[in-house]
Amino acid sequence: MKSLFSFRLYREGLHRQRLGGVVAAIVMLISLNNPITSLVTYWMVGDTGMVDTIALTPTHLISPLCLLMPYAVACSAAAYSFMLQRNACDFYDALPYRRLSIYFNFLLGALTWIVGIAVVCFGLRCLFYSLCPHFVYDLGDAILALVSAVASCLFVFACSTLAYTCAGNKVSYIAIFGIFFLDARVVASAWLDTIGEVAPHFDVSASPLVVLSWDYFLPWSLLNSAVDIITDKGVVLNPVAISYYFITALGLMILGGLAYVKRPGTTPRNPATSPQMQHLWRMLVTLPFAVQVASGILLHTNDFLEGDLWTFSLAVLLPLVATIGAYFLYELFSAGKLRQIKSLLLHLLWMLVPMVVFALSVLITKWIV
Amino acid sequence: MIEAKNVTMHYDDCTALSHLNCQIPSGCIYGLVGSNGSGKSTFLRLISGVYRPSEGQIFIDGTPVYDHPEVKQSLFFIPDELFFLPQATLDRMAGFYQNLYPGFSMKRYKQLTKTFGLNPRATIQTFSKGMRRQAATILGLSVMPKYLFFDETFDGLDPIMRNLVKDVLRQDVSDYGTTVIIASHSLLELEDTCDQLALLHRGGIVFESDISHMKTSLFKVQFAMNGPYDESIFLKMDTRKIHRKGAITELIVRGDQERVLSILQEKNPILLEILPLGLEEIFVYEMEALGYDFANVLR
Repeated sequence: MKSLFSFRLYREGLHRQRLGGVVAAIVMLISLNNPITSLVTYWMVGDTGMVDTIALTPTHLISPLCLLMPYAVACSAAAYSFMLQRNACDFYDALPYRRLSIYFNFLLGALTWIVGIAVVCFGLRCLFYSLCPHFVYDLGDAILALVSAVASCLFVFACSTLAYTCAGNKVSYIAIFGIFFLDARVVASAWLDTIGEVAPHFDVSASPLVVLSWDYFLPWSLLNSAVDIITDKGVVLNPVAISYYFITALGLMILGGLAYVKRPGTTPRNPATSPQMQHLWRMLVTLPFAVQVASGILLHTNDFLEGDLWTFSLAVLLPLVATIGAYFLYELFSAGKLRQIKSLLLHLLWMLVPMVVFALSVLITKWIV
Repeated sequence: MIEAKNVTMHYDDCTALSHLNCQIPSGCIYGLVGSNGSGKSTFLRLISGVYRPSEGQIFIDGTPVYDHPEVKQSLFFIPDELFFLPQATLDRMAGFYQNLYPGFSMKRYKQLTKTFGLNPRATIQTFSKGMRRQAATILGLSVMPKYLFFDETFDGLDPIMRNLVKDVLRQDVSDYGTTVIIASHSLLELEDTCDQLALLHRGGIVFESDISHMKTSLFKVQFAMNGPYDESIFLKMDTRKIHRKGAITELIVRGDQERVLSILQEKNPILLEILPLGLEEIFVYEMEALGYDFANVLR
């Protein structure tokens, strides 16, 4: 631990976040206008002018914190975007510190800003509302909501950070970020929707995969709750979802550190850290489309047998075209050109694997149930 | 001392260095010359610990470089493509390095900034190409490293600044025992700066020597005899080339100058003088002796 943490590097990590941090802090302070206005109004008008007690929902207290999610992406960029530039990579690799130490201390610097701004903003909102006796709220639920917001931000930050360590350029960064952020949810939701149709008596809510579904997607729920303040607890206060995203964020950050240590110094010349990893990312980019093909076949086999080819084509052929298109487009945009066409075509056959696995898992589950 | 043992570096589509072995002594200015793509920059990145070799190992003072911060504290690498922190001034960069390198000398930094005439409070982004290279040189020298590596040191520098950098480097080697390695594609740039030179070609060192030894051990002899002479005298010398221009004969000879002179003086020549060879000429003859066409090596 002693050699991992360096106060000098940590200070540098804090310093490089200062511009974004100051902007985010200013935005959070501006969001305090609601409670401050309410408080000032109360002081000016006095008790007689106010209406009945207003019960604040936890999302009242944390709704501005959803703005910290794009800030978390900016934090990740401020800390790690150097990995996409050859001269910047050489600069940091030449410093007298282990890569893991650089990663860890920059991570700590970014997290200090994200969590610090979240906690301070939340604390000030609670304080101002509590000074106004006509507003009431459940502090326990409010703290849970804060934890939920922080978990969402950390998850977004972790996905972005891991993407930087795995990517070689901006295109591959965006694609890999999307893979870590969305792939699991898309695949899990497709599986649950398919099994729900194929085996109606299967209890989808009891499946462990439900935590990966859109209904439990914490960042999305947080954004939704900020736009449309909900009065019930919803997934924002779901301990299972919160725990899942905290653990996942931590796991992704650890993975990011390991990926950075292993990352070749020559990566910025290439779309990925190695040709093998480029194959993997191509497959994962196309995975959301590929599982739709399998899902379409399972759900529309009857249509095919009954001659309704139009419905079958929409459900199966369209995602198949999308799969192949996404495969080649990703390679074209990330690598700048299509090289080794024969090899690309051969590797495309690997897309059959997730399709088969998806279909078999649905059929086996149906058979078991 | 820097030691490279059987170092190989593969990229996805090519091999930059192949089974390279060399020893670079401490306290000298070592020049690495080679054509584009010969592996100079790759070699510098390997000895700086930026890249991990695909095979082999690189040691500095007996310790492997890669992922060893204690070794990296004693070295500083100035690459061909410079990088500075976004929107940083020279002072900010100095503060950054002072934070991370224990040996950084702020006194030296201020002295060098004044000598080079750069504004330390101006954003480096506003500097010209040559000024940025000066800035990088100032920062590198201020770190007070034991080993200093330059990739294309003089790229973008005007002649006055080139001489200034050369003087400062020589002073550092003399005063502090710093080992400097300079990679360049130009022999002329390295000729009056380096003590030792190595020629890289297709991923390996094909020729390596001390410059003063090179210049004294391979030389041109010009003489004229009063009438015909027995050419068997050339067999007594390691003659690389014989060229006749009328009555004057020019020899390119390897060996001891005094011995060669005494051999020729026995024949009572009417003209006898030793002329020094330029570094490029020396390389041409040495490479030809090794079987390379030097003109194609440095293209």
